[in-house]
Amino acid sequence: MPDDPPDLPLDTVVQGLIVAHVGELVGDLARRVCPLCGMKFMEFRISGRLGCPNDYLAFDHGLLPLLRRSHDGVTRHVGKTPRRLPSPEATESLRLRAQLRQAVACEDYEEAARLRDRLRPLPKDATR
Amino acid sequence: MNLDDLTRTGGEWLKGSGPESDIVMCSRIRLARNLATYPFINRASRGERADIEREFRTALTDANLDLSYIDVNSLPKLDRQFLVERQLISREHDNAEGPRGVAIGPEENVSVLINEEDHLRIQVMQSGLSLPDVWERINRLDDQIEEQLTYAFSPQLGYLTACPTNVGTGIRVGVMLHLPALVHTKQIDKVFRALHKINLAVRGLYGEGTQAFGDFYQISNQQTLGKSETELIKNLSDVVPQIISYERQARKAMIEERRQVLHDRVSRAYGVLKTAHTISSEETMLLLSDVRMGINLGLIDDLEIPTVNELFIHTQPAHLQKLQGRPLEVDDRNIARASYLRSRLANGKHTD
Repeated sequence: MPDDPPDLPLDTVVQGLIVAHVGELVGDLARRVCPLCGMKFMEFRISGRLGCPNDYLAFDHGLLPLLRRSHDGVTRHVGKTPRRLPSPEATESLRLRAQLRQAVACEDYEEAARLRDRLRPLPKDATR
Repeated sequence: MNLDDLTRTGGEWLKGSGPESDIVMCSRIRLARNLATYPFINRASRGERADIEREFRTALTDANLDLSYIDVNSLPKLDRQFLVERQLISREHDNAEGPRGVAIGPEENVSVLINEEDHLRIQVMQSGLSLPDVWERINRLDDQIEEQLTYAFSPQLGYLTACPTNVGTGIRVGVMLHLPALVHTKQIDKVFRALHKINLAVRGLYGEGTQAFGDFYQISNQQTLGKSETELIKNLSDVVPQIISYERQARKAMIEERRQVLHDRVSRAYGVLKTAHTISSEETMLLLSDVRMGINLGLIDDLEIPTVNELFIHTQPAHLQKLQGRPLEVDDRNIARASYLRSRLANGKHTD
Protein backbone atom coordinates (compact mmCIF):
# COMPACT_ATOMS: atom_id res chain seq x y z
CA MET A 1 0.00 0.00 0.00
CA PRO A 2 1.44 3.40 -0.98
CA ASP A 3 2.27 5.98 1.67
CA ASP A 4 -0.26 8.71 2.34
CA PRO A 5 0.66 11.89 0.48
CA PRO A 6 2.53 14.35 2.69
CA ASP A 7 0.29 16.93 4.31
CA LEU A 8 1.32 20.05 2.39
CA PRO A 9 -0.56 23.30 1.99
CA LEU A 10 -2.23 23.57 -1.42
CA ASP A 11 -0.14 26.49 -2.70
CA THR A 12 3.07 24.56 -1.93
CA VAL A 13 1.73 21.65 -3.97
CA VAL A 14 0.74 23.98 -6.84
CA GLN A 15 4.13 25.70 -6.80
CA GLY A 16 5.87 22.30 -6.80
CA LEU A 17 3.81 21.20 -9.80
CA ILE A 18 4.56 24.40 -11.70
CA VAL A 19 8.30 24.09 -10.99
CA ALA A 20 8.21 20.42 -12.03
CA HIS A 21 6.34 21.04 -15.27
CA VAL A 22 7.53 24.44 -16.46
CA GLY A 23 11.24 24.05 -15.78
CA GLU A 24 14.14 25.40 -13.85
CA LEU A 25 14.06 29.05 -14.92
CA VAL A 26 10.48 29.36 -13.81
CA GLY A 27 11.46 27.41 -10.69
CA ASP A 28 14.15 29.98 -9.87
CA LEU A 29 11.76 32.78 -10.58
CA ALA A 30 8.98 31.16 -8.64
CA ARG A 31 11.13 31.20 -5.51
CA ARG A 32 12.28 34.76 -6.00
CA VAL A 33 11.15 37.12 -3.23
CA CYS A 34 11.26 40.91 -3.16
CA PRO A 35 13.51 41.80 -0.21
CA LEU A 36 11.54 45.01 0.41
CA CYS A 37 7.92 43.83 0.48
CA GLY A 38 8.22 40.04 0.79
CA MET A 39 6.15 39.40 -2.35
CA LYS A 40 7.02 36.12 -4.14
CA PHE A 41 7.05 36.05 -7.95
CA MET A 42 4.64 33.12 -7.81
CA GLU A 43 2.19 35.19 -5.72
CA PHE A 44 2.31 37.88 -8.39
CA ARG A 45 1.63 35.31 -11.13
CA ILE A 46 -1.46 34.16 -9.25
CA SER A 47 -2.86 37.61 -8.32
CA GLY A 48 -1.57 39.69 -11.24
CA ARG A 49 -0.67 42.53 -8.83
CA LEU A 50 2.81 43.51 -7.64
CA GLY A 51 3.61 44.30 -4.01
CA CYS A 52 5.83 47.38 -4.24
CA PRO A 53 7.79 49.48 -6.78
CA ASN A 54 10.94 47.45 -6.08
CA ASP A 55 9.26 44.30 -7.49
CA TYR A 56 10.06 45.63 -10.97
CA LEU A 57 13.76 45.17 -10.07
CA ALA A 58 13.38 42.02 -8.00
CA PHE A 59 11.39 40.20 -10.72
CA ASP A 60 12.97 41.81 -13.79
CA HIS A 61 13.67 38.51 -15.60
CA GLY A 62 10.15 37.28 -15.07
CA LEU A 63 8.49 40.60 -15.89
CA LEU A 64 10.30 41.45 -19.13
CA PRO A 65 8.56 38.80 -21.27
CA LEU A 66 5.22 39.83 -19.77
CA LEU A 67 5.89 43.50 -20.49
CA ARG A 68 6.84 42.68 -24.09
CA ARG A 69 3.62 40.76 -24.55
CA SER A 70 1.44 43.54 -23.05
CA HIS A 71 3.19 46.47 -24.71
CA ASP A 72 3.78 45.52 -28.34
CA GLY A 73 7.32 44.23 -27.76
CA VAL A 74 8.61 47.48 -26.24
CA THR A 75 10.06 47.75 -22.74
CA ARG A 76 11.36 51.32 -22.63
CA HIS A 77 9.33 54.26 -21.35
CA VAL A 78 9.21 57.26 -23.69
CA GLY A 79 6.45 59.35 -22.13
CA LYS A 80 6.15 61.93 -19.39
CA THR A 81 8.79 62.22 -16.66
CA PRO A 82 7.91 63.65 -13.26
CA ARG A 83 9.86 66.70 -12.15
CA ARG A 84 10.85 64.93 -8.94
CA LEU A 85 12.47 61.48 -9.07
CA PRO A 86 12.52 59.08 -6.13
CA SER A 87 15.75 59.21 -4.12
CA PRO A 88 17.55 56.16 -2.63
CA GLU A 89 15.86 57.02 0.68
CA ALA A 90 12.56 55.94 -0.89
CA THR A 91 13.91 52.37 -1.08
CA GLU A 92 15.03 52.56 2.55
CA SER A 93 11.56 53.76 3.46
CA LEU A 94 9.99 50.72 1.73
CA ARG A 95 12.37 48.45 3.65
CA LEU A 96 11.51 50.02 7.01
CA ARG A 97 7.80 49.80 6.26
CA ALA A 98 8.12 46.07 5.49
CA GLN A 99 9.97 45.56 8.80
CA LEU A 100 7.27 47.54 10.57
CA ARG A 101 4.48 45.38 9.09
CA GLN A 102 6.44 42.31 10.17
CA ALA A 103 6.94 43.65 13.71
CA VAL A 104 3.23 44.46 14.04
CA ALA A 105 2.32 40.98 12.73
CA CYS A 106 4.62 39.44 15.41
CA GLU A 107 3.16 41.79 18.04
CA ASP A 108 6.65 43.15 18.69
CA TYR A 109 5.40 46.62 19.57
CA GLU A 110 8.70 47.87 20.95
CA GLU A 111 10.38 47.20 17.60
CA ALA A 112 7.35 48.64 15.80
CA ALA A 113 7.64 51.89 17.78
CA ARG A 114 11.36 52.11 17.03
CA LEU A 115 10.71 51.61 13.28
CA ARG A 116 7.92 54.17 13.31
CA ASP A 117 10.32 56.72 14.78
CA ARG A 118 12.85 55.98 12.05
CA LEU A 119 10.19 56.26 9.36
CA ARG A 120 8.73 59.54 10.48
CA PRO A 121 11.33 61.95 9.09
CA LEU A 122 12.09 59.81 6.04
CA PRO A 123 9.24 60.54 3.64
CA LYS A 124 10.01 64.25 3.82
CA ASP A 125 13.75 63.69 3.27
CA ALA A 126 12.97 61.40 0.39
CA THR A 127 10.78 63.93 -1.30
CA ARG A 128 12.98 66.99 -0.98
CA MET B 1 -20.03 67.20 -0.55
CA ASN B 2 -23.66 66.17 -0.26
CA LEU B 3 -24.47 63.34 -2.66
CA ASP B 4 -28.15 64.29 -2.69
CA ASP B 5 -27.19 67.52 -4.48
CA LEU B 6 -25.86 65.41 -7.35
CA THR B 7 -28.98 63.28 -7.61
CA ARG B 8 -31.07 65.67 -9.66
CA THR B 9 -28.26 66.84 -11.93
CA GLY B 10 -26.19 65.19 -14.62
CA GLY B 11 -22.45 65.39 -15.21
CA GLU B 12 -21.05 67.59 -17.99
CA TRP B 13 -20.18 64.45 -19.95
CA LEU B 14 -23.92 63.76 -20.42
CA LYS B 15 -24.56 67.19 -21.98
CA GLY B 16 -24.43 65.78 -25.50
CA SER B 17 -22.25 68.66 -26.68
CA GLY B 18 -18.85 68.63 -28.35
CA PRO B 19 -17.73 67.14 -31.68
CA GLU B 20 -19.49 63.99 -33.00
CA SER B 21 -21.66 63.87 -29.88
CA ASP B 22 -24.45 61.98 -31.70
CA ILE B 23 -22.12 58.95 -31.60
CA VAL B 24 -19.36 59.85 -29.13
CA MET B 25 -20.96 60.17 -25.71
CA CYS B 26 -17.70 61.24 -24.04
CA SER B 27 -13.90 61.17 -24.09
CA ARG B 28 -12.03 60.03 -21.03
CA ILE B 29 -8.41 59.73 -19.89
CA ARG B 30 -7.11 58.26 -16.66
CA LEU B 31 -3.61 58.22 -15.18
CA ALA B 32 -2.29 55.70 -12.62
CA ARG B 33 0.23 56.94 -10.03
CA ASN B 34 1.84 55.50 -6.88
CA LEU B 35 3.86 57.04 -4.07
CA ALA B 36 7.54 56.02 -4.06
CA THR B 37 7.72 55.37 -0.32
CA TYR B 38 4.77 52.99 0.16
CA PRO B 39 4.07 49.43 -0.97
CA PHE B 40 1.30 49.01 -3.58
CA ILE B 41 -2.24 48.69 -2.23
CA ASN B 42 -2.45 44.90 -2.03
CA ARG B 43 0.65 44.81 0.21
CA ALA B 44 -0.18 47.92 2.27
CA SER B 45 -1.50 47.56 5.81
CA ARG B 46 -4.64 49.36 6.88
CA GLY B 47 -2.48 51.93 8.66
CA GLU B 48 -0.41 52.51 5.51
CA ARG B 49 -3.55 52.95 3.43
CA ALA B 50 -4.76 55.54 5.93
CA ASP B 51 -1.36 57.32 5.65
CA ILE B 52 -1.53 57.23 1.83
CA GLU B 53 -5.03 58.69 1.92
CA ARG B 54 -3.85 61.44 4.30
CA GLU B 55 -0.83 62.30 2.11
CA PHE B 56 -3.01 62.70 -0.98
CA ARG B 57 -5.70 64.68 0.84
CA THR B 58 -3.02 67.08 2.05
CA ALA B 59 -1.53 67.29 -1.44
CA LEU B 60 -4.92 68.02 -3.02
CA THR B 61 -5.59 70.74 -0.45
CA ASP B 62 -2.10 72.27 -0.84
CA ALA B 63 -2.45 72.27 -4.62
CA ASN B 64 -5.55 74.47 -4.19
CA LEU B 65 -7.67 72.37 -6.51
CA ASP B 66 -11.40 72.90 -6.81
CA LEU B 67 -12.32 69.38 -5.71
CA SER B 68 -14.75 68.02 -3.12
CA TYR B 69 -13.54 65.02 -1.15
CA ILE B 70 -15.75 62.03 -0.35
CA ASP B 71 -14.63 59.42 2.18
CA VAL B 72 -15.73 56.31 0.24
CA ASN B 73 -14.93 53.99 3.15
CA SER B 74 -17.64 55.52 5.30
CA LEU B 75 -20.30 55.65 2.55
CA PRO B 76 -23.25 53.24 2.64
CA LYS B 77 -23.36 50.66 -0.18
CA LEU B 78 -26.18 52.52 -1.97
CA ASP B 79 -24.15 55.74 -2.18
CA ARG B 80 -21.09 53.89 -3.47
CA GLN B 81 -23.24 52.23 -6.14
CA PHE B 82 -24.62 55.69 -7.00
CA LEU B 83 -21.06 56.95 -7.63
CA VAL B 84 -20.33 53.90 -9.82
CA GLU B 85 -23.45 54.59 -11.90
CA ARG B 86 -22.27 58.17 -12.43
CA GLN B 87 -18.84 56.88 -13.56
CA LEU B 88 -17.14 58.74 -10.69
CA ILE B 89 -15.70 55.63 -9.03
CA SER B 90 -15.01 52.13 -10.37
CA ARG B 91 -16.69 48.91 -9.29
CA GLU B 92 -13.36 47.84 -7.82
CA HIS B 93 -13.28 50.99 -5.66
CA ASP B 94 -16.87 50.36 -4.54
CA ASN B 95 -16.13 46.76 -3.56
CA ALA B 96 -12.74 47.41 -1.90
CA GLU B 97 -12.26 47.70 1.85
CA GLY B 98 -10.36 50.07 4.10
CA PRO B 99 -9.38 53.74 3.86
CA ARG B 100 -10.14 55.12 0.40
CA GLY B 101 -11.81 58.10 -1.19
CA VAL B 102 -12.60 60.16 -4.24
CA ALA B 103 -12.21 63.88 -4.96
CA ILE B 104 -14.73 65.21 -7.47
CA GLY B 105 -14.49 68.37 -9.53
CA PRO B 106 -17.30 70.76 -10.46
CA GLU B 107 -19.52 69.47 -13.29
CA GLU B 108 -18.17 65.99 -12.48
CA ASN B 109 -15.53 66.20 -15.21
CA VAL B 110 -12.75 65.28 -12.80
CA SER B 111 -12.54 62.44 -10.31
CA VAL B 112 -9.42 61.55 -8.35
CA LEU B 113 -9.51 58.10 -6.75
CA ILE B 114 -7.32 57.36 -3.76
CA ASN B 115 -6.41 53.75 -2.86
CA GLU B 116 -8.01 52.05 -5.82
CA GLU B 117 -5.81 49.46 -7.60
CA ASP B 118 -3.06 52.11 -7.51
CA HIS B 119 -2.54 54.75 -4.83
CA LEU B 120 -3.91 57.38 -7.19
CA ARG B 121 -6.11 57.25 -10.27
CA ILE B 122 -6.85 60.59 -11.91
CA GLN B 123 -9.75 60.65 -14.37
CA VAL B 124 -10.98 63.46 -16.61
CA MET B 125 -14.08 63.14 -18.82
CA GLN B 126 -15.66 65.48 -21.33
CA SER B 127 -18.67 65.12 -23.61
CA GLY B 128 -18.04 64.53 -27.32
CA LEU B 129 -14.80 63.62 -29.10
CA SER B 130 -12.24 65.86 -27.42
CA LEU B 131 -9.21 63.79 -26.39
CA PRO B 132 -6.55 66.53 -26.87
CA ASP B 133 -8.54 68.89 -24.57
CA VAL B 134 -8.94 66.14 -22.00
CA TRP B 135 -5.20 65.38 -22.14
CA GLU B 136 -4.29 69.02 -21.67
CA ARG B 137 -6.53 69.18 -18.64
CA ILE B 138 -5.42 65.94 -16.99
CA ASN B 139 -1.74 66.62 -17.69
CA ARG B 140 -1.99 69.97 -15.89
CA LEU B 141 -3.84 68.39 -12.98
CA ASP B 142 -1.20 65.63 -12.77
CA ASP B 143 1.54 68.32 -12.65
CA GLN B 144 -0.26 70.20 -9.88
CA ILE B 145 -0.67 67.11 -7.69
CA GLU B 146 2.87 65.90 -8.44
CA GLU B 147 4.40 69.15 -7.13
CA GLN B 148 3.47 67.99 -3.64
CA LEU B 149 4.66 64.36 -3.81
CA THR B 150 7.22 61.89 -5.15
CA TYR B 151 5.92 59.12 -7.38
CA ALA B 152 7.34 55.64 -7.96
CA PHE B 153 9.11 56.10 -11.30
CA SER B 154 12.02 54.47 -13.13
CA PRO B 155 13.73 56.04 -16.15
CA GLN B 156 13.56 52.66 -17.95
CA LEU B 157 9.97 51.67 -17.14
CA GLY B 158 8.28 55.01 -16.39
CA TYR B 159 5.54 55.29 -13.75
CA LEU B 160 5.50 52.05 -11.75
CA THR B 161 2.03 50.58 -11.24
CA ALA B 162 0.54 47.70 -9.25
CA CYS B 163 -0.32 45.87 -12.47
CA PRO B 164 2.42 45.69 -15.14
CA THR B 165 -0.20 46.21 -17.87
CA ASN B 166 -0.37 49.89 -16.80
CA VAL B 167 3.35 50.59 -16.35
CA GLY B 168 5.09 53.38 -18.30
CA THR B 169 2.66 56.20 -18.95
CA GLY B 170 -0.02 54.72 -16.67
CA ILE B 171 -2.50 56.13 -19.18
CA ARG B 172 -5.83 54.77 -20.35
CA VAL B 173 -7.33 56.79 -23.19
CA GLY B 174 -10.92 55.98 -24.00
CA VAL B 175 -14.01 57.10 -25.86
CA MET B 176 -17.54 55.96 -25.13
CA LEU B 177 -19.41 55.29 -28.38
CA HIS B 178 -23.09 54.74 -29.08
CA LEU B 179 -23.22 52.17 -31.90
CA PRO B 180 -26.83 50.96 -32.25
CA ALA B 181 -26.81 50.63 -36.06
CA LEU B 182 -23.65 48.49 -36.07
CA VAL B 183 -25.28 46.30 -33.42
CA HIS B 184 -28.60 46.03 -35.33
CA THR B 185 -26.88 45.19 -38.61
CA LYS B 186 -24.64 42.64 -36.83
CA GLN B 187 -21.43 44.29 -38.02
CA ILE B 188 -20.23 45.12 -34.52
CA ASP B 189 -18.21 41.92 -34.02
CA LYS B 190 -16.27 42.61 -37.20
CA VAL B 191 -15.37 46.07 -35.88
CA PHE B 192 -14.30 44.62 -32.51
CA ARG B 193 -12.09 42.01 -34.13
CA ALA B 194 -10.36 44.73 -36.15
CA LEU B 195 -9.83 46.81 -32.99
CA HIS B 196 -8.34 43.86 -31.08
CA LYS B 197 -5.89 43.33 -33.92
CA ILE B 198 -4.51 46.83 -33.44
CA ASN B 199 -4.25 46.36 -29.68
CA LEU B 200 -7.33 48.36 -28.64
CA ALA B 201 -9.73 47.10 -25.98
CA VAL B 202 -13.53 47.17 -26.12
CA ARG B 203 -15.51 47.28 -22.89
CA GLY B 204 -19.03 47.97 -21.70
CA LEU B 205 -20.24 51.21 -20.13
CA TYR B 206 -18.99 50.35 -16.64
CA GLY B 207 -15.48 49.17 -17.50
CA GLU B 208 -13.66 45.90 -17.41
CA GLY B 209 -15.71 42.75 -17.69
CA THR B 210 -19.07 44.49 -17.84
CA GLN B 211 -21.58 43.88 -20.59
CA ALA B 212 -22.10 46.72 -22.99
CA PHE B 213 -25.57 48.08 -22.41
CA GLY B 214 -27.74 50.41 -24.39
CA ASP B 215 -25.35 49.79 -27.31
CA PHE B 216 -22.63 51.84 -25.58
CA TYR B 217 -19.04 50.69 -25.91
CA GLN B 218 -15.77 52.05 -24.57
CA ILE B 219 -12.78 51.79 -26.87
CA SER B 220 -9.38 52.25 -25.20
CA ASN B 221 -5.64 51.60 -25.54
CA GLN B 222 -4.03 48.51 -23.98
CA GLN B 223 -0.40 49.45 -24.52
CA THR B 224 0.96 51.91 -21.95
CA LEU B 225 4.73 51.44 -22.32
CA GLY B 226 7.02 52.37 -25.23
CA LYS B 227 4.77 55.07 -26.68
CA SER B 228 4.28 58.61 -25.41
CA GLU B 229 0.94 59.84 -24.08
CA THR B 230 0.37 61.94 -27.19
CA GLU B 231 1.18 59.01 -29.52
CA LEU B 232 -1.29 56.79 -27.67
CA ILE B 233 -3.93 59.53 -27.88
CA LYS B 234 -3.23 59.95 -31.60
CA ASN B 235 -3.52 56.17 -32.19
CA LEU B 236 -7.02 56.20 -30.75
CA SER B 237 -7.98 59.52 -32.32
CA ASP B 238 -7.05 58.11 -35.75
CA VAL B 239 -9.27 55.06 -35.36
CA VAL B 240 -12.40 56.61 -33.82
CA PRO B 241 -13.46 58.59 -36.93
CA GLN B 242 -13.43 55.33 -38.92
CA ILE B 243 -15.78 53.67 -36.43
CA ILE B 244 -17.99 56.78 -36.49
CA SER B 245 -18.13 56.61 -40.27
CA TYR B 246 -19.10 52.88 -40.22
CA GLU B 247 -21.88 53.67 -37.74
CA ARG B 248 -23.11 56.56 -39.92
CA GLN B 249 -23.07 54.35 -43.04
CA ALA B 250 -25.04 51.66 -41.21
CA ARG B 251 -27.58 54.26 -40.04
CA LYS B 252 -27.88 55.71 -43.54
CA ALA B 253 -28.44 52.27 -45.05
CA MET B 254 -31.09 51.45 -42.45
CA ILE B 255 -32.99 54.66 -43.10
CA GLU B 256 -32.74 54.44 -46.87
CA GLU B 257 -33.64 50.79 -47.19
CA ARG B 258 -36.10 50.29 -44.32
CA ARG B 259 -37.28 53.70 -43.25
CA GLN B 260 -40.79 52.61 -42.19
CA VAL B 261 -39.47 49.62 -40.23
CA LEU B 262 -36.91 51.77 -38.46
CA HIS B 263 -39.38 54.58 -37.78
CA ASP B 264 -41.84 52.05 -36.38
CA ARG B 265 -39.22 50.56 -34.10
CA VAL B 266 -38.10 53.94 -32.78
CA SER B 267 -41.68 55.17 -32.24
CA ARG B 268 -42.68 51.98 -30.43
CA ALA B 269 -39.62 52.29 -28.16
CA TYR B 270 -40.57 55.89 -27.37
CA GLY B 271 -44.21 54.87 -26.83
CA VAL B 272 -43.34 52.13 -24.35
CA LEU B 273 -41.02 54.42 -22.37
CA LYS B 274 -43.74 57.10 -22.17
CA THR B 275 -46.54 54.75 -21.10
CA ALA B 276 -45.17 51.68 -19.30
CA HIS B 277 -46.13 51.11 -15.67
CA THR B 278 -43.36 48.68 -14.82
CA ILE B 279 -40.08 48.31 -16.70
CA SER B 280 -36.73 46.62 -16.08
CA SER B 281 -33.37 48.34 -16.31
CA GLU B 282 -32.37 46.17 -19.31
CA GLU B 283 -35.49 46.98 -21.31
CA THR B 284 -35.10 50.67 -20.50
CA MET B 285 -31.53 50.68 -21.87
CA LEU B 286 -32.56 48.92 -25.08
CA LEU B 287 -35.46 51.28 -25.70
CA LEU B 288 -33.52 54.44 -24.77
CA SER B 289 -30.86 53.34 -27.25
CA ASP B 290 -33.45 53.18 -30.05
CA VAL B 291 -34.90 56.54 -29.01
CA ARG B 292 -31.44 58.13 -28.92
CA MET B 293 -30.75 56.95 -32.47
CA GLY B 294 -34.24 58.08 -33.51
CA ILE B 295 -33.56 61.63 -32.33
CA ASN B 296 -30.22 61.71 -34.16
CA LEU B 297 -31.90 60.53 -37.37
CA GLY B 298 -34.68 63.13 -37.10
CA LEU B 299 -37.39 60.51 -36.47
CA ILE B 300 -38.22 62.01 -33.06
CA ASP B 301 -38.29 65.77 -32.86
CA ASP B 302 -39.77 66.58 -29.47
CA LEU B 303 -37.04 65.21 -27.19
CA GLU B 304 -33.45 66.31 -26.60
CA ILE B 305 -30.29 64.21 -26.46
CA PRO B 306 -29.13 65.46 -23.00
CA THR B 307 -32.44 64.25 -21.53
CA VAL B 308 -31.96 60.79 -23.02
CA ASN B 309 -28.30 60.65 -21.91
CA GLU B 310 -29.35 61.57 -18.40
CA LEU B 311 -32.14 58.96 -18.38
CA PHE B 312 -29.58 56.22 -19.08
CA ILE B 313 -27.96 57.10 -15.73
CA HIS B 314 -30.96 58.23 -13.68
CA THR B 315 -32.92 55.00 -14.32
CA GLN B 316 -30.09 52.87 -12.84
CA PRO B 317 -31.00 51.11 -9.55
CA ALA B 318 -29.07 53.30 -7.08
CA HIS B 319 -30.17 56.53 -8.78
CA LEU B 320 -33.84 55.52 -8.63
CA GLN B 321 -33.54 54.74 -4.94
CA LYS B 322 -31.79 58.05 -4.24
CA LEU B 323 -34.45 59.91 -6.23
CA GLN B 324 -37.21 58.14 -4.30
CA GLY B 325 -35.35 58.69 -1.06
CA ARG B 326 -35.71 55.09 0.12
CA PRO B 327 -34.44 51.55 -0.62
CA LEU B 328 -36.56 49.62 -3.16
CA GLU B 329 -36.72 45.94 -4.12
CA VAL B 330 -36.59 44.95 -7.81
CA ASP B 331 -40.36 44.94 -8.42
CA ASP B 332 -40.81 48.31 -6.74
CA ARG B 333 -37.83 49.69 -8.65
CA ASN B 334 -39.43 48.64 -11.94
CA ILE B 335 -42.60 50.48 -11.00
CA ALA B 336 -40.65 53.54 -9.81
CA ARG B 337 -38.57 53.50 -13.01
CA ALA B 338 -41.66 53.47 -15.22
CA SER B 339 -43.23 56.26 -13.20
CA TYR B 340 -40.03 58.35 -13.41
CA LEU B 341 -39.80 57.80 -17.18
CA ARG B 342 -43.46 58.80 -17.67
CA SER B 343 -42.94 62.00 -15.71
CA ARG B 344 -39.70 62.92 -17.51
CA LEU B 345 -41.16 62.16 -20.95
CA ALA B 346 -44.63 63.63 -20.35
CA ASN B 347 -46.05 65.44 -23.39
CA GLY B 348 -42.90 64.46 -25.24
CA LYS B 349 -41.09 67.46 -23.79
CA HIS B 350 -38.00 67.69 -21.66
CA THR B 351 -39.38 68.19 -18.17
CA ASP B 352 -37.38 68.38 -14.97
